[in-house]
Amino acid sequence: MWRYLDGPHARPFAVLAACIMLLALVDGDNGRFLSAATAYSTLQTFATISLVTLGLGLTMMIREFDLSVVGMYGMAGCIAVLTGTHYPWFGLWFALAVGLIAGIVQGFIIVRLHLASVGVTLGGLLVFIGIAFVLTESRSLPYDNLGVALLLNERVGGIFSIRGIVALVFFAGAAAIFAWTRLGRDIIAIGSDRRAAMTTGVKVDTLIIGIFAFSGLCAALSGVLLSYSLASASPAGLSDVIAPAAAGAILGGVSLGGGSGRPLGIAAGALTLAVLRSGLNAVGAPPFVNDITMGAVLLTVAVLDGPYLARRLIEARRWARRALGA
Amino acid sequence: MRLAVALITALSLSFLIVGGADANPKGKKIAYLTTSPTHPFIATLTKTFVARAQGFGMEVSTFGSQFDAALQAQQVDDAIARKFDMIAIVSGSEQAIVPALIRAKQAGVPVILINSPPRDGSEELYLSFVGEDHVQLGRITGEAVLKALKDGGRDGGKIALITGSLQEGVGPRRVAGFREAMKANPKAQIVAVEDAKWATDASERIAGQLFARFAAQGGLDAIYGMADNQSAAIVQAAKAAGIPLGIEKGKLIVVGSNCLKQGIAGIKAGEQYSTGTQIPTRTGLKAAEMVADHFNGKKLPKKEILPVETITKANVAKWEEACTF
Repeated sequence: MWRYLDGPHARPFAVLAACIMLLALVDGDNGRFLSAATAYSTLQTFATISLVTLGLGLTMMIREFDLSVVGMYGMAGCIAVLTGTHYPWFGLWFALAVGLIAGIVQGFIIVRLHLASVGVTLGGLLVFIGIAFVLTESRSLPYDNLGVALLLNERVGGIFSIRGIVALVFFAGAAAIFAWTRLGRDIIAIGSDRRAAMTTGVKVDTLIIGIFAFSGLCAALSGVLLSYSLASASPAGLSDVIAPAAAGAILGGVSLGGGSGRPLGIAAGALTLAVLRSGLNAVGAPPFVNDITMGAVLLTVAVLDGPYLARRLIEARRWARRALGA
Repeated sequence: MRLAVALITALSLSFLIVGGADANPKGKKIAYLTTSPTHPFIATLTKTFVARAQGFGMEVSTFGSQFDAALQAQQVDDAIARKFDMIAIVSGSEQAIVPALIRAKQAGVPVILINSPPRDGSEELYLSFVGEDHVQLGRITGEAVLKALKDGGRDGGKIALITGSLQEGVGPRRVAGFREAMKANPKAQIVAVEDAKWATDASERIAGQLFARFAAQGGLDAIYGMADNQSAAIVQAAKAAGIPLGIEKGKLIVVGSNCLKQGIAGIKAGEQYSTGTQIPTRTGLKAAEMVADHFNGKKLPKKEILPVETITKANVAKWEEACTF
């Protein structure tokens, strides 16, 4: 049992369960945390950050990093609000197309010019933010189709919203692809040893471009859904996403060194952050406790994932077994 | 039939009276949603509101959002679900808060908006707004600049604005008011409007860039730092660039706003010409009193606009205490 929980794929779920138990314990029998209201709030926060976390997490799995998600998140929202007041679907598809194409272009530049993704996507980030400022004339934009805004956040089944369901469907799809196709294995192989993956016939370049395209698409979709649901768009973005997304991916078992992680793990990582944010609010913790707790959880996971510490723990376990055997 | 109607009316009235007697602020649960609890202005506003509301016997839960519009909207939904009696909001985005206000109205939870101006046309969604008229605050600052130019013997001049966030809310309103005031003297020209997003460091950097940019054209005559932390940064940048400060010809006039202690210190030192009253303690007290009034059954005005006044060396003593927090 312990070995299973200690495994790299189970750890995100163990951390999530630990956070839920801890918050339930803190709340006691007040009923503030283990309630439908907090579950809904958690899934709403999950909807805001999780798609970006998924896209970013996949780029991290192949030992790259897509900084441009922040810019795409804001820009896609602005595009959708500008073009989708009367035809929300048109605004959505248009913004998604922009996200997809921008991701392909960035991936293509990285692959063809053999450039580091951080530099390229930093350029992308600045370009997207700049375009968003030009499109909006440096103003926040109202989205006058309030019906769409209310619909996206309307409760479905007590704890879900359309935004949340879209995010869950994306994660389910990604998990299915990882489980039932060789794509997941190839992604992990690229992150572990790119040259070896190439030698074994993995289409490395195509996959890298594809993953950046998917990341762009996820950021755009997330940005559009958030802008529609808040009935506004801002060139600077409506929510801080890069820090929670990176933290969620790391909590989800993705290593910055690449070659590890699963979509369901990333979902658990994003959900952990959402549980902490909504749960701490629900139990009435002061605002600063939220950041400290999230930082502490992240630090703990990072330390536990450190190879040196892991080695020392294995050695300690062996020593303990020998001592008990003797 | 008449008897029945009279009875129903009497019963309804008695319920109303009993309801009114019960509906005092004591024990009411207030969700106070703010932007950045660590910012001095916001922190003082929060502290004052919470203390005064607790003084009325209300329970206040504070939630910070660090200007994250999505998080603040979520906090409104959480407050509705947790059945708070009222939500008090210092909103981070006048646009993005609107759907959440609609949901609060649908749920029957009254909302009071504090300090950050609400979106025009959203009046039906909230109970009351308390804060300053930022167009007016911009206007009086513009008038202060014109007066300083005139008193210094200058017939107009080149004026730059280093502002708070111009995307929405306070910033654009103050710029609009400032521009209105400038119409009184066509020779006073706004030559630059730079968005420093309320940041001190960005304001100092931008001021330095502006000094370099306009040096070949005889320099700037006046700069408006939209908050006093910004005007203090402009003063520092001017000193670093060797530009003299004051209202006389050849000197730079610096004006601010928000009545922060840096602004008061600058005015007393003769480095800043003016600031404007936007006092967090006053706003916090008023907001808490209005919440209590609501639970006492009083009808609140839709907008409680607090008076604004220009603070210069002439009246700085009157405002020094209120503006030091």
